Amino acid sequence: MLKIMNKDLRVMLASKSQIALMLFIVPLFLLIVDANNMGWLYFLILIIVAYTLIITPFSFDVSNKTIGLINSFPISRKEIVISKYLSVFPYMFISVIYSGIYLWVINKSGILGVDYFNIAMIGRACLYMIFVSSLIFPANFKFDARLAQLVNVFFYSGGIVLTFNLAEANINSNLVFLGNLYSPLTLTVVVVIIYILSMILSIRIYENRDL
Amino acid sequence: MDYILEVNKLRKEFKDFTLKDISFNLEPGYIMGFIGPNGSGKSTTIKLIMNLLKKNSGEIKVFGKDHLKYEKEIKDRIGFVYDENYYYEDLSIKQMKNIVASFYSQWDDRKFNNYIKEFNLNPRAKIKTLSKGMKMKFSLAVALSHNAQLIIMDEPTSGLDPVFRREILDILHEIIQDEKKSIFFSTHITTDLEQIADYITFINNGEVVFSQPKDDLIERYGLVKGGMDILDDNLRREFIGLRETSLGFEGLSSNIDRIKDKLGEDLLIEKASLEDIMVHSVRGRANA
Repeated sequence: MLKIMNKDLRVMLASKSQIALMLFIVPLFLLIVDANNMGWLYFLILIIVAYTLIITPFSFDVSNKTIGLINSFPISRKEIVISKYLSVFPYMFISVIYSGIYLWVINKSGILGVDYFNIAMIGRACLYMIFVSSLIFPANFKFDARLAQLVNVFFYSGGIVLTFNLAEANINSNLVFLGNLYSPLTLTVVVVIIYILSMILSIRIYENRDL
Repeated sequence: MDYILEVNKLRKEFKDFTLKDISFNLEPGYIMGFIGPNGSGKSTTIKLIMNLLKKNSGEIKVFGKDHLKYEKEIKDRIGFVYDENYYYEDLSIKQMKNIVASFYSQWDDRKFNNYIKEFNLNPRAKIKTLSKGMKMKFSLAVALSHNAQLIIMDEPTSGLDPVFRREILDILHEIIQDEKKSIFFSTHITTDLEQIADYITFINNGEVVFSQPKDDLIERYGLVKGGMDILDDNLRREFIGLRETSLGFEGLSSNIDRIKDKLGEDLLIEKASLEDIMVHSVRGRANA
Protein backbone atom coordinates (compact mmCIF):
# COMPACT_ATOMS: atom_id res chain seq x y z
CA MET A 1 0.00 0.00 0.00
CA LEU A 2 2.84 2.35 0.82
CA LYS A 3 4.20 1.90 -2.70
CA ILE A 4 1.43 4.00 -4.21
CA MET A 5 1.95 6.79 -1.69
CA ASN A 6 5.69 6.62 -2.16
CA LYS A 7 5.13 6.99 -5.92
CA ASP A 8 2.72 9.90 -5.47
CA LEU A 9 5.07 11.78 -3.15
CA ARG A 10 8.08 11.24 -5.42
CA VAL A 11 6.14 12.50 -8.43
CA MET A 12 4.90 15.57 -6.56
CA LEU A 13 8.36 16.42 -5.25
CA ALA A 14 9.82 16.15 -8.76
CA SER A 15 7.42 18.72 -10.15
CA LYS A 16 8.69 22.31 -9.94
CA SER A 17 5.21 23.75 -10.42
CA GLN A 18 3.90 21.58 -7.58
CA ILE A 19 6.71 22.73 -5.27
CA ALA A 20 6.03 26.36 -6.22
CA LEU A 21 2.33 25.89 -5.51
CA MET A 22 3.05 24.37 -2.11
CA LEU A 23 5.50 27.17 -1.26
CA PHE A 24 3.13 29.99 -2.14
CA ILE A 25 -0.19 28.53 -1.10
CA VAL A 26 0.07 29.51 2.59
CA PRO A 27 1.20 33.16 2.16
CA LEU A 28 -1.20 33.53 -0.75
CA PHE A 29 -4.22 32.72 1.39
CA LEU A 30 -2.93 34.76 4.30
CA LEU A 31 -2.63 37.79 2.03
CA ILE A 32 -5.75 37.54 -0.08
CA VAL A 33 -8.34 36.51 2.47
CA ASP A 34 -9.60 39.46 4.43
CA ALA A 35 -10.74 37.33 7.32
CA ASN A 36 -12.70 38.67 10.21
CA ASN A 37 -12.45 35.28 11.81
CA MET A 38 -8.88 33.93 11.63
CA GLY A 39 -10.03 30.47 12.68
CA TRP A 40 -11.65 29.96 9.29
CA LEU A 41 -8.53 31.15 7.52
CA TYR A 42 -6.31 28.59 9.28
CA PHE A 43 -8.94 25.96 8.64
CA LEU A 44 -8.94 26.95 4.98
CA ILE A 45 -5.14 26.78 4.72
CA LEU A 46 -5.11 23.39 6.37
CA ILE A 47 -7.68 21.83 4.07
CA ILE A 48 -6.33 23.48 0.94
CA VAL A 49 -2.83 22.07 1.57
CA ALA A 50 -4.28 18.62 2.35
CA TYR A 51 -6.66 18.72 -0.62
CA THR A 52 -3.81 19.71 -2.93
CA LEU A 53 -1.73 16.77 -1.71
CA ILE A 54 -4.62 14.32 -2.04
CA ILE A 55 -5.83 15.35 -5.45
CA THR A 56 -2.58 16.20 -7.26
CA PRO A 57 -1.52 12.56 -7.78
CA PHE A 58 -4.81 11.96 -9.61
CA SER A 59 -4.09 14.98 -11.81
CA PHE A 60 -0.56 13.74 -12.53
CA ASP A 61 -1.89 10.34 -13.55
CA VAL A 62 -4.36 12.07 -15.86
CA SER A 63 -1.86 14.47 -17.44
CA ASN A 64 0.87 11.84 -17.82
CA LYS A 65 -1.60 9.09 -18.86
CA THR A 66 0.05 6.73 -16.38
CA ILE A 67 -3.06 4.86 -15.20
CA GLY A 68 -2.27 1.97 -17.56
CA LEU A 69 1.33 1.89 -16.37
CA ILE A 70 0.35 1.74 -12.69
CA ASN A 71 -2.14 -1.02 -13.39
CA SER A 72 0.48 -3.08 -15.21
CA PHE A 73 2.48 -3.26 -11.97
CA PRO A 74 1.96 -6.19 -9.60
CA ILE A 75 -0.63 -4.42 -7.51
CA SER A 76 -4.36 -5.10 -7.45
CA ARG A 77 -6.95 -2.46 -8.18
CA LYS A 78 -8.36 -2.97 -4.70
CA GLU A 79 -4.97 -2.10 -3.21
CA ILE A 80 -4.73 1.00 -5.39
CA VAL A 81 -8.12 2.23 -4.14
CA ILE A 82 -7.38 1.44 -0.49
CA SER A 83 -3.99 3.17 -0.77
CA LYS A 84 -5.66 6.34 -2.03
CA TYR A 85 -8.19 6.30 0.80
CA LEU A 86 -5.58 5.64 3.46
CA SER A 87 -3.33 8.35 2.04
CA VAL A 88 -5.81 10.95 3.32
CA PHE A 89 -4.40 10.49 6.84
CA PRO A 90 -0.68 10.95 6.16
CA TYR A 91 -1.45 13.82 3.80
CA MET A 92 -3.54 15.46 6.51
CA PHE A 93 -0.66 14.94 8.92
CA ILE A 94 1.82 16.45 6.45
CA SER A 95 -0.58 19.34 5.92
CA VAL A 96 -0.80 20.05 9.68
CA ILE A 97 3.00 19.92 10.12
CA TYR A 98 3.73 21.93 6.98
CA SER A 99 1.13 24.64 7.63
CA GLY A 100 2.07 24.77 11.31
CA ILE A 101 5.77 25.30 10.57
CA TYR A 102 4.96 27.83 7.86
CA LEU A 103 2.72 29.88 10.15
CA TRP A 104 5.24 29.62 12.97
CA VAL A 105 7.98 30.98 10.69
CA ILE A 106 5.71 33.82 9.53
CA ASN A 107 4.87 34.62 13.13
CA LYS A 108 8.47 34.49 14.34
CA SER A 109 9.77 36.59 11.48
CA GLY A 110 7.28 39.31 12.42
CA ILE A 111 5.86 39.55 8.89
CA LEU A 112 2.38 38.90 10.14
CA GLY A 113 0.91 38.18 13.51
CA VAL A 114 -0.72 34.83 13.04
CA ASP A 115 -2.39 32.73 15.61
CA TYR A 116 -1.79 29.00 15.65
CA PHE A 117 -4.47 26.50 14.97
CA ASN A 118 -5.53 24.25 17.78
CA ILE A 119 -6.27 20.54 18.16
CA ALA A 120 -10.04 21.01 17.88
CA MET A 121 -9.63 22.80 14.58
CA ILE A 122 -7.26 20.13 13.28
CA GLY A 123 -9.84 17.50 14.22
CA ARG A 124 -12.56 19.34 12.34
CA ALA A 125 -10.32 19.79 9.32
CA CYS A 126 -9.55 16.06 9.34
CA LEU A 127 -13.26 15.20 9.43
CA TYR A 128 -13.91 17.68 6.64
CA MET A 129 -11.13 16.20 4.48
CA ILE A 130 -12.28 12.62 5.09
CA PHE A 131 -15.81 13.67 4.12
CA VAL A 132 -14.72 15.53 0.97
CA SER A 133 -12.36 12.70 -0.03
CA SER A 134 -15.26 10.26 0.34
CA LEU A 135 -17.15 12.33 -2.23
CA ILE A 136 -14.38 12.95 -4.74
CA PHE A 137 -12.66 9.54 -4.77
CA PRO A 138 -15.56 7.55 -6.28
CA ALA A 139 -15.81 10.19 -9.03
CA ASN A 140 -12.08 9.88 -9.74
CA PHE A 141 -12.28 6.10 -9.90
CA LYS A 142 -15.48 6.08 -11.96
CA PHE A 143 -15.33 8.85 -14.52
CA ASP A 144 -12.96 9.45 -17.38
CA ALA A 145 -10.15 11.90 -16.75
CA ARG A 146 -11.86 15.11 -17.85
CA LEU A 147 -15.06 14.56 -15.88
CA ALA A 148 -13.10 13.52 -12.78
CA GLN A 149 -11.02 16.69 -13.04
CA LEU A 150 -14.21 18.73 -13.20
CA VAL A 151 -15.43 17.14 -9.98
CA ASN A 152 -12.09 17.91 -8.32
CA VAL A 153 -12.16 21.53 -9.45
CA PHE A 154 -15.76 21.87 -8.30
CA PHE A 155 -14.95 20.70 -4.78
CA TYR A 156 -11.65 22.59 -4.70
CA SER A 157 -13.08 25.94 -5.76
CA GLY A 158 -16.40 25.36 -4.00
CA GLY A 159 -14.60 24.65 -0.72
CA ILE A 160 -12.45 27.75 -1.08
CA VAL A 161 -15.38 30.04 -1.89
CA LEU A 162 -17.45 28.66 0.97
CA THR A 163 -14.65 29.03 3.49
CA PHE A 164 -13.76 32.51 2.12
CA ASN A 165 -17.28 33.67 2.75
CA LEU A 166 -17.43 32.13 6.19
CA ALA A 167 -14.08 33.74 7.07
CA GLU A 168 -15.16 37.16 5.90
CA ALA A 169 -18.60 36.92 7.44
CA ASN A 170 -17.03 36.30 10.86
CA ILE A 171 -19.09 33.22 11.52
CA ASN A 172 -17.96 31.25 14.52
CA SER A 173 -15.31 28.81 13.37
CA ASN A 174 -16.64 26.17 15.72
CA LEU A 175 -19.69 25.88 13.51
CA VAL A 176 -18.22 23.67 10.86
CA PHE A 177 -20.85 22.22 8.56
CA LEU A 178 -23.39 20.21 10.58
CA GLY A 179 -21.22 20.80 13.61
CA ASN A 180 -23.97 22.69 15.30
CA LEU A 181 -26.51 19.96 14.64
CA TYR A 182 -24.59 16.92 15.84
CA SER A 183 -22.18 16.17 18.64
CA PRO A 184 -18.53 15.74 17.61
CA LEU A 185 -18.79 12.01 18.30
CA THR A 186 -21.92 11.56 16.18
CA LEU A 187 -20.36 13.62 13.42
CA THR A 188 -17.19 11.52 13.54
CA VAL A 189 -19.18 8.29 13.37
CA VAL A 190 -21.25 9.57 10.42
CA VAL A 191 -18.15 10.69 8.51
CA VAL A 192 -16.34 7.39 9.19
CA ILE A 193 -19.37 5.43 7.92
CA ILE A 194 -19.50 7.58 4.78
CA TYR A 195 -15.75 7.06 4.32
CA ILE A 196 -16.02 3.25 4.57
CA LEU A 197 -19.07 3.09 2.26
CA SER A 198 -17.29 5.34 -0.20
CA MET A 199 -14.21 3.08 -0.13
CA ILE A 200 -16.34 -0.03 -0.79
CA LEU A 201 -18.10 1.77 -3.65
CA SER A 202 -14.78 2.91 -5.17
CA ILE A 203 -13.33 -0.62 -4.99
CA ARG A 204 -16.39 -2.01 -6.81
CA ILE A 205 -16.26 0.75 -9.41
CA TYR A 206 -12.52 0.47 -10.07
CA GLU A 207 -12.41 -3.33 -10.11
CA ASN A 208 -15.03 -3.45 -12.85
CA ARG A 209 -13.86 -0.52 -14.92
CA ASP A 210 -12.16 -0.60 -18.31
CA LEU A 211 -8.99 1.50 -18.19
CA MET B 1 1.90 -28.96 -23.12
CA ASP B 2 2.71 -26.12 -20.69
CA TYR B 3 2.01 -22.80 -22.30
CA ILE B 4 3.31 -19.51 -21.00
CA LEU B 5 0.24 -17.74 -22.38
CA GLU B 6 -3.15 -19.29 -23.16
CA VAL B 7 -6.03 -17.29 -24.55
CA ASN B 8 -9.23 -19.28 -24.93
CA LYS B 9 -12.48 -17.98 -26.48
CA LEU B 10 -11.77 -14.47 -25.26
CA ARG B 11 -14.59 -12.05 -25.91
CA LYS B 12 -14.91 -8.33 -25.34
CA GLU B 13 -17.80 -6.26 -26.57
CA PHE B 14 -17.72 -2.52 -27.17
CA LYS B 15 -20.42 -0.38 -28.77
CA ASP B 16 -18.72 -0.40 -32.16
CA PHE B 17 -16.32 -3.34 -31.99
CA THR B 18 -16.29 -6.91 -30.71
CA LEU B 19 -13.36 -9.17 -30.04
CA LYS B 20 -14.93 -12.45 -31.12
CA ASP B 21 -13.98 -15.43 -28.97
CA ILE B 22 -10.32 -15.46 -29.93
CA SER B 23 -7.94 -18.28 -28.98
CA PHE B 24 -4.19 -18.81 -29.25
CA ASN B 25 -1.28 -20.19 -27.18
CA LEU B 26 2.36 -19.27 -26.72
CA GLU B 27 5.04 -21.76 -25.65
CA PRO B 28 7.98 -20.82 -23.43
CA GLY B 29 11.12 -19.66 -25.22
CA TYR B 30 9.44 -18.30 -28.34
CA ILE B 31 8.49 -14.98 -29.88
CA MET B 32 4.93 -14.63 -31.06
CA GLY B 33 4.11 -11.81 -33.43
CA PHE B 34 0.58 -10.55 -33.07
CA ILE B 35 -0.29 -8.89 -36.34
CA GLY B 36 -3.30 -7.19 -37.80
CA PRO B 37 -4.36 -3.90 -39.31
CA ASN B 38 -5.14 -0.87 -37.15
CA GLY B 39 -8.34 -1.38 -35.19
CA SER B 40 -8.29 -5.16 -35.57
CA GLY B 41 -8.19 -5.83 -31.81
CA LYS B 42 -4.47 -6.17 -31.02
CA SER B 43 -4.32 -3.56 -28.26
CA THR B 44 -7.67 -4.72 -26.89
CA THR B 45 -6.32 -8.27 -26.58
CA ILE B 46 -3.16 -7.08 -24.84
CA LYS B 47 -5.16 -4.88 -22.47
CA LEU B 48 -7.37 -7.85 -21.65
CA ILE B 49 -4.33 -10.01 -20.90
CA MET B 50 -3.02 -7.24 -18.61
CA ASN B 51 -6.48 -6.87 -17.03
CA LEU B 52 -6.68 -3.23 -18.07
CA LEU B 53 -9.94 -4.12 -19.78
CA LYS B 54 -12.61 -6.43 -18.38
CA LYS B 55 -13.46 -9.43 -20.55
CA ASN B 56 -17.05 -10.40 -21.29
CA SER B 57 -16.20 -14.08 -21.47
CA GLY B 58 -13.37 -16.51 -22.13
CA GLU B 59 -10.25 -17.51 -20.32
CA ILE B 60 -6.74 -16.13 -20.06
CA LYS B 61 -3.99 -18.13 -18.39
CA VAL B 62 -0.48 -16.84 -17.90
CA PHE B 63 2.19 -19.25 -16.63
CA GLY B 64 -0.68 -21.77 -16.42
CA LYS B 65 -2.61 -19.63 -13.93
CA ASP B 66 -5.79 -17.63 -14.23
CA HIS B 67 -4.84 -14.04 -14.96
CA LEU B 68 -7.38 -12.57 -12.56
CA LYS B 69 -7.03 -14.95 -9.64
CA TYR B 70 -3.24 -14.72 -9.66
CA GLU B 71 -3.01 -11.20 -11.06
CA LYS B 72 -0.27 -9.87 -8.78
CA GLU B 73 1.89 -12.97 -9.00
CA ILE B 74 1.55 -13.00 -12.78
CA LYS B 75 2.25 -9.30 -13.27
CA ASP B 76 5.35 -9.65 -11.14
CA ARG B 77 6.73 -11.92 -13.87
CA ILE B 78 5.54 -9.91 -16.89
CA GLY B 79 7.52 -7.16 -18.55
CA PHE B 80 5.04 -4.86 -20.22
CA VAL B 81 5.97 -2.37 -22.92
CA TYR B 82 3.33 0.04 -24.13
CA ASP B 83 2.96 1.44 -27.64
CA GLU B 84 3.08 4.94 -26.19
CA ASN B 85 5.45 5.15 -23.28
CA TYR B 86 3.56 6.89 -20.56
CA TYR B 87 5.76 7.85 -17.66
CA TYR B 88 5.84 10.84 -15.35
CA GLU B 89 7.49 13.38 -17.62
CA ASP B 90 9.02 15.48 -14.82
CA LEU B 91 10.95 12.55 -13.40
CA SER B 92 14.43 11.50 -14.41
CA ILE B 93 15.17 7.96 -15.58
CA LYS B 94 16.63 7.16 -12.18
CA GLN B 95 13.65 8.58 -10.27
CA MET B 96 11.20 6.67 -12.45
CA LYS B 97 13.24 3.52 -12.02
CA ASN B 98 13.08 3.90 -8.24
CA ILE B 99 9.29 4.08 -8.39
CA VAL B 100 8.92 1.07 -10.69
CA ALA B 101 11.50 -0.99 -8.78
CA SER B 102 9.52 -0.68 -5.54
CA PHE B 103 6.63 -2.64 -7.07
CA TYR B 104 8.57 -5.72 -8.22
CA SER B 105 9.74 -8.49 -5.91
CA GLN B 106 12.68 -9.48 -8.11
CA TRP B 107 13.93 -6.10 -9.28
CA ASP B 108 17.60 -6.27 -10.26
CA ASP B 109 19.33 -2.90 -10.09
CA ARG B 110 22.55 -4.25 -11.57
CA LYS B 111 20.71 -5.56 -14.60
CA PHE B 112 18.89 -2.24 -15.04
CA ASN B 113 22.14 -0.29 -14.87
CA ASN B 114 23.69 -2.61 -17.45
CA TYR B 115 20.81 -2.04 -19.84
CA ILE B 116 20.91 1.72 -19.29
CA LYS B 117 24.60 1.67 -20.15
CA GLU B 118 24.09 -0.60 -23.14
CA PHE B 119 21.28 1.61 -24.45
CA ASN B 120 23.31 4.80 -23.92
CA LEU B 121 20.72 6.36 -21.64
CA ASN B 122 21.65 9.01 -19.10
CA PRO B 123 20.02 8.11 -15.75
CA ARG B 124 19.81 11.80 -14.88
CA ALA B 125 17.96 12.72 -18.06
CA LYS B 126 14.36 13.76 -17.55
CA ILE B 127 11.85 11.56 -19.29
CA LYS B 128 10.34 14.54 -21.11
CA THR B 129 13.70 15.13 -22.84
CA LEU B 130 13.90 11.59 -24.27
CA SER B 131 13.07 10.84 -27.89
CA LYS B 132 10.48 8.18 -28.68
CA GLY B 133 13.21 5.66 -29.41
CA MET B 134 15.00 6.42 -26.15
CA LYS B 135 11.75 6.11 -24.23
CA MET B 136 11.21 2.73 -25.84
CA LYS B 137 14.69 1.66 -24.78
CA PHE B 138 13.97 2.84 -21.23
CA SER B 139 10.71 0.87 -21.29
CA LEU B 140 12.60 -2.19 -22.41
CA ALA B 141 15.22 -1.73 -19.70
CA VAL B 142 12.42 -1.54 -17.11
CA ALA B 143 10.62 -4.57 -18.56
CA LEU B 144 13.81 -6.63 -18.55
CA SER B 145 15.12 -5.76 -15.11
CA HIS B 146 12.76 -7.70 -12.86
CA ASN B 147 13.39 -11.19 -14.21
CA ALA B 148 10.21 -11.21 -16.26
CA GLN B 149 9.58 -14.46 -18.07
CA LEU B 150 6.99 -13.08 -20.43
CA ILE B 151 7.52 -9.80 -22.24
CA ILE B 152 4.33 -8.31 -23.66
CA MET B 153 4.82 -5.48 -26.11
CA ASP B 154 2.15 -3.40 -27.76
CA GLU B 155 3.46 -1.93 -31.02
CA PRO B 156 6.97 -1.30 -29.68
CA THR B 157 8.42 -0.36 -33.05
CA SER B 158 5.58 1.86 -34.20
CA GLY B 159 6.78 5.37 -35.03
CA LEU B 160 10.46 4.49 -34.68
CA ASP B 161 12.97 5.08 -37.45
CA PRO B 162 14.53 2.00 -39.12
CA VAL B 163 17.79 2.28 -37.15
CA PHE B 164 16.03 2.31 -33.79
CA ARG B 165 13.67 -0.44 -34.94
CA ARG B 166 16.56 -2.66 -35.90
CA GLU B 167 18.22 -1.99 -32.52
CA ILE B 168 15.03 -2.92 -30.67
CA LEU B 169 14.67 -6.10 -32.71
CA ASP B 170 18.28 -7.07 -32.01
CA ILE B 171 17.64 -6.58 -28.29
CA LEU B 172 14.54 -8.78 -28.45
CA HIS B 173 16.46 -11.44 -30.29
CA GLU B 174 19.10 -11.37 -27.58
CA ILE B 175 16.48 -11.66 -24.83
CA ILE B 176 15.16 -15.04 -25.96
CA GLN B 177 18.58 -16.61 -26.28
CA ASP B 178 18.26 -18.08 -22.78
CA GLU B 179 15.16 -20.01 -24.03
CA LYS B 180 13.22 -19.31 -20.85
CA LYS B 181 11.68 -16.00 -21.76
CA SER B 182 8.87 -15.55 -24.24
CA ILE B 183 7.83 -12.46 -26.10
CA PHE B 184 4.35 -11.55 -27.24
CA PHE B 185 4.77 -8.71 -29.65
CA SER B 186 1.96 -6.85 -31.42
CA THR B 187 2.70 -4.86 -34.53
CA HIS B 188 1.38 -3.89 -37.90
CA ILE B 189 4.93 -3.65 -39.25
CA THR B 190 5.21 -7.22 -40.42
CA THR B 191 8.78 -6.96 -41.70
CA ASP B 192 9.90 -6.71 -38.05
CA LEU B 193 8.44 -10.12 -37.38
CA GLU B 194 9.97 -11.79 -40.39
CA GLN B 195 13.30 -11.31 -38.69
CA ILE B 196 12.51 -12.45 -35.17
CA ALA B 197 9.14 -14.19 -34.72
CA ASP B 198 8.66 -17.93 -34.30
CA TYR B 199 4.87 -17.84 -34.32
CA ILE B 200 2.43 -15.48 -35.96
CA THR B 201 -1.09 -14.82 -34.78
CA PHE B 202 -3.06 -12.78 -37.25
CA ILE B 203 -6.15 -10.93 -36.08
CA ASN B 204 -8.55 -9.08 -38.30
CA ASN B 205 -11.80 -7.38 -37.38
CA GLY B 206 -11.78 -8.97 -33.92
CA GLU B 207 -11.23 -12.53 -35.17
CA VAL B 208 -8.12 -14.67 -35.23
CA VAL B 209 -7.47 -15.57 -38.86
CA PHE B 210 -4.61 -17.93 -38.01
CA SER B 211 -2.10 -18.66 -35.28
CA GLN B 212 0.77 -20.74 -36.65
CA PRO B 213 4.54 -21.15 -36.76
CA LYS B 214 5.99 -18.48 -39.05
CA ASP B 215 7.94 -20.98 -41.14
CA ASP B 216 4.79 -23.01 -41.83
CA LEU B 217 3.05 -19.87 -43.00
CA ILE B 218 5.84 -18.82 -45.30
CA GLU B 219 5.93 -22.39 -46.64
CA ARG B 220 2.18 -22.69 -47.05
CA TYR B 221 1.23 -19.37 -48.56
CA GLY B 222 2.29 -18.25 -51.99
CA LEU B 223 1.81 -15.24 -54.19
CA VAL B 224 0.54 -16.20 -57.62
CA LYS B 225 0.95 -13.83 -60.56
CA GLY B 226 -0.29 -14.20 -64.08
CA GLY B 227 -2.10 -12.67 -67.03
CA MET B 228 -5.79 -11.82 -66.97
CA ASP B 229 -6.48 -14.30 -69.77
CA ILE B 230 -6.07 -17.29 -67.45
CA LEU B 231 -8.00 -15.86 -64.51
CA ASP B 232 -11.33 -17.68 -64.59
CA ASP B 233 -13.86 -18.35 -61.82
CA ASN B 234 -12.25 -21.67 -60.88
CA LEU B 235 -8.90 -20.00 -60.34
CA ARG B 236 -10.45 -17.08 -58.47
CA ARG B 237 -11.84 -19.48 -55.91
CA GLU B 238 -8.32 -20.65 -55.08
CA PHE B 239 -7.31 -17.24 -53.78
CA ILE B 240 -7.67 -15.80 -50.31
CA GLY B 241 -7.14 -12.33 -51.73
CA LEU B 242 -6.86 -11.12 -55.28
CA ARG B 243 -5.60 -7.92 -56.89
CA GLU B 244 -6.43 -7.33 -60.50
CA THR B 245 -4.89 -4.73 -62.80
CA SER B 246 -4.96 -4.18 -66.55
CA LEU B 247 -1.60 -5.96 -66.76
CA GLY B 248 -2.56 -9.05 -64.82
CA PHE B 249 -3.47 -10.39 -61.42
CA GLU B 250 -1.76 -11.15 -58.13
CA GLY B 251 -3.43 -13.54 -55.72
CA LEU B 252 -2.60 -15.11 -52.38
CA SER B 253 -3.19 -18.81 -52.00
CA SER B 254 -2.70 -21.24 -49.18
CA ASN B 255 -2.72 -24.16 -51.59
CA ILE B 256 0.17 -23.54 -53.92
CA ASP B 257 0.61 -27.19 -54.91
CA ARG B 258 -2.90 -27.48 -56.31
CA ILE B 259 -2.47 -24.30 -58.35
CA LYS B 260 0.90 -25.52 -59.60
CA ASP B 261 -0.70 -28.78 -60.72
CA LYS B 262 -3.46 -26.93 -62.53
CA LEU B 263 -1.62 -24.10 -64.24
CA GLY B 264 2.01 -24.29 -63.14
CA GLU B 265 3.54 -23.40 -66.48
CA ASP B 266 1.55 -20.23 -67.04
CA LEU B 267 1.98 -18.71 -63.61
CA LEU B 268 4.68 -17.03 -61.60
CA ILE B 269 4.60 -18.31 -58.02
CA GLU B 270 6.56 -16.47 -55.32
CA LYS B 271 6.89 -16.89 -51.59
CA ALA B 272 4.47 -14.61 -49.79
CA SER B 273 5.74 -12.21 -47.17
CA LEU B 274 3.81 -11.69 -43.94
CA GLU B 275 2.71 -8.36 -45.35
CA ASP B 276 1.34 -10.08 -48.48
CA ILE B 277 -0.53 -12.56 -46.29
CA MET B 278 -1.93 -9.82 -44.09
CA VAL B 279 -2.92 -7.44 -46.90
CA HIS B 280 -4.53 -10.09 -49.09
CA SER B 281 -6.33 -11.70 -46.16
CA VAL B 282 -7.80 -8.37 -45.11
CA ARG B 283 -8.81 -7.48 -48.66
CA GLY B 284 -10.18 -10.94 -49.33
CA ARG B 285 -12.40 -10.82 -46.27
CA ALA B 286 -13.53 -7.32 -47.07
CA ASN B 287 -14.58 -8.45 -50.57
CA ALA B 288 -16.16 -11.71 -49.41
